[in-house]
Amino acid sequence: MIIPTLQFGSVDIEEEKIISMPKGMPGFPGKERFILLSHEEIDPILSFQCVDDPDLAFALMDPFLFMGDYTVALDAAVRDMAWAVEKPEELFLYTIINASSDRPEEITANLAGPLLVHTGVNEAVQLVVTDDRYPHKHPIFAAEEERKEG
Amino acid sequence: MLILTRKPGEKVRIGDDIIIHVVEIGKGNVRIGVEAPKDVSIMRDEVVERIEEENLQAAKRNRNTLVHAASLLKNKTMIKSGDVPTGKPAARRRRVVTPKQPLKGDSNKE
Repeated sequence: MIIPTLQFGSVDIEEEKIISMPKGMPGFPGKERFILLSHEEIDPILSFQCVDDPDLAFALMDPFLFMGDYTVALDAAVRDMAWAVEKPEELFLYTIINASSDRPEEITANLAGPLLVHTGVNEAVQLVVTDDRYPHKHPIFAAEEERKEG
Repeated sequence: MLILTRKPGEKVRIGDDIIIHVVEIGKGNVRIGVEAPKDVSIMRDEVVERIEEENLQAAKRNRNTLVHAASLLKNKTMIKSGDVPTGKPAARRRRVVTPKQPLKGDSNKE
């Protein structure tokens, strides 16, 4: 199946890898089918592309690449989604990257609203984390600099 | 919208298993308690609104910013403009998170 994307042009995707968001993507009602795309150009960032809207894509990143001790409780979400988790390896956690400014050093990660993906059933849900340590706009690079200096 | 007048100590019942307690009325704020089944998520509305707002902003991603940020990330260190990236790409790691303690509702914090 070939889908159009804004950043990477036409992309051939495997239909069975489409990830659905039964509870929707907050802020984007009706957009429920996405696909995870990796591309050399943005690696280690991934693109979470809406299958039904070429203009809608989120940048995702593995939070453990920049915050090794990021901890999110998943029990409630797993129960909420009525997921059976046979292997923990089926669950992947990503943070949504805000790269809306024109300065690459200023990209932020939304630690308060990570995306949990179950690759066994190809479903995802955005979690809401209420923890003061995890803001909506966590500056990835500033944090790295501080750690080096400290 | 249904509007009810309640005094401190009084309750409102929603459906079979949700009870809202009016705990205390202060100056310009009301403390409420919520009794609900574990699988009902209870959050301050602005928390959810902020997530939506952040999603709307994140969807306006800037292609150049993303590409340059990615190359900064690959080299793991900040690169001054003009420098040629020479570092090796960061090893691809994907850490799996196993369920830990149950997610505590926002209401339990107080």
